[in-house]
Amino acid sequence: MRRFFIVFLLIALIIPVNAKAYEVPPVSAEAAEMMDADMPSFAEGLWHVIKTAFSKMEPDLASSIRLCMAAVGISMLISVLASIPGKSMECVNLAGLVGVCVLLLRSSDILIHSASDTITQISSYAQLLLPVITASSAAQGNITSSAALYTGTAFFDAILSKLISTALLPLVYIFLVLMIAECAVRVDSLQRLRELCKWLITWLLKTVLYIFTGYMSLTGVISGAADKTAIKAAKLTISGAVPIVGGILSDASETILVGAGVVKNSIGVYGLIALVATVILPFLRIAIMYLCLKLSSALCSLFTGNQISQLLQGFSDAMGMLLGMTGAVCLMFMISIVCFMKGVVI
Amino acid sequence: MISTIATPLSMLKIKEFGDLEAEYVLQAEHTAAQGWAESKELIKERIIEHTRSYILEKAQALGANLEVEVELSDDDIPIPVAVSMIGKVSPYAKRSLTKIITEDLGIEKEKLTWI
Repeated sequence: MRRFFIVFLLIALIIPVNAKAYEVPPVSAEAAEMMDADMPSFAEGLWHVIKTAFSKMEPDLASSIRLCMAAVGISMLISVLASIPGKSMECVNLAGLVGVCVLLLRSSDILIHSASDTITQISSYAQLLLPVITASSAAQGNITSSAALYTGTAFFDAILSKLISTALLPLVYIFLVLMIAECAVRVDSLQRLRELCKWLITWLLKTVLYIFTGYMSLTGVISGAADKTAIKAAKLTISGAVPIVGGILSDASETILVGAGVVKNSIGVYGLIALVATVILPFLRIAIMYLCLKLSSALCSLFTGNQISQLLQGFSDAMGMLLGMTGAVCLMFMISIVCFMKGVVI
Repeated sequence: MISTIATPLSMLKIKEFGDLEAEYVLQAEHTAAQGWAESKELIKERIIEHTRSYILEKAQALGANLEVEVELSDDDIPIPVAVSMIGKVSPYAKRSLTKIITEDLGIEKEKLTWI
């Protein structure tokens, strides 16, 4: 990151834009640790974040594997017990389910809270970054489009964050409860309710993202066109001026606007990497749990009737939904930053 | 289960989102206007600097040692509209400079001040 700041400082000194006015907000300590001190380019900065995150995943991987292996162990035990004649199969299965639930509910709850905290963190960081990138984009001449992008991003962030915290996360808990109940009592209506929960979460996330992407595309076209027209009109005025004055005006405005563009892109690149650094650790933790649960569900299906396997599948579905929520919020801000960076070409 | 989902949902108020939207529009417009104003100020400074350098260069070629102050119009694209020149200058240099400024920079003769 040191090199990035040096480059940023040099840019600030070389280009005639008040770069101090566009100071990027600091990331959380955990995310800052993940970012490269010498960030030579976007790809290398991103690669460093991913590499560091994977290197930190070892304990989480070990604990996820331990949990899932314990679940597989319980499943094997149930399988053995079920083969002994004279035992009530229902009771044995129920005991197995309770055992797996005890194992997984605590860690699932921790991961659900972690996803919720991450969404809040991304949202808070983006709320600090948005005004900076909006101002730097407007400084480049994208006045209408930057204001529209800011409004859209902030508004959709408010909707999505509120939706996740008030509806989708409680729905994940309900999904898990229904899953456990369904595995225990095997009632079809519970399965349908569970599927409804899953469909609702997926549909809501997709819909908000589709609307957001549509809004951003339309905003880009409409307000981008307005900015382009304004810039064209300005260029026309400049070219209509006395040649020497025209030269002075065009030189002055181009230097400032191009400089602002460089600052805006630097902020955008930093913002993208900061977002990835903020989200990657919890995202990977959930993803590892998701994969381990999927794998152990497949393994369990070899041993007993499919109740424990189905339960593990249900837990992995819940993790998948958390991944979807965290990913959706992060993706939304990434799309927004890229839209800001794209702006109107001068 | 119904209360788990209904309680937080009941706290959602659609009207709040409408208010939020209006608030974000204001914030966005203010931030964008601030960014553009900053750029415009820098462009103005640069135009003044370039115009002054141009006049000083011509004045030096005519043997005049002047201090130059440039005034810009308030348009979206600011144009030099008035120039004040401070210092001793020969009648020939004054005539030549007046011609250069009015022809090259399009500034009216009446807007030139010699101090």
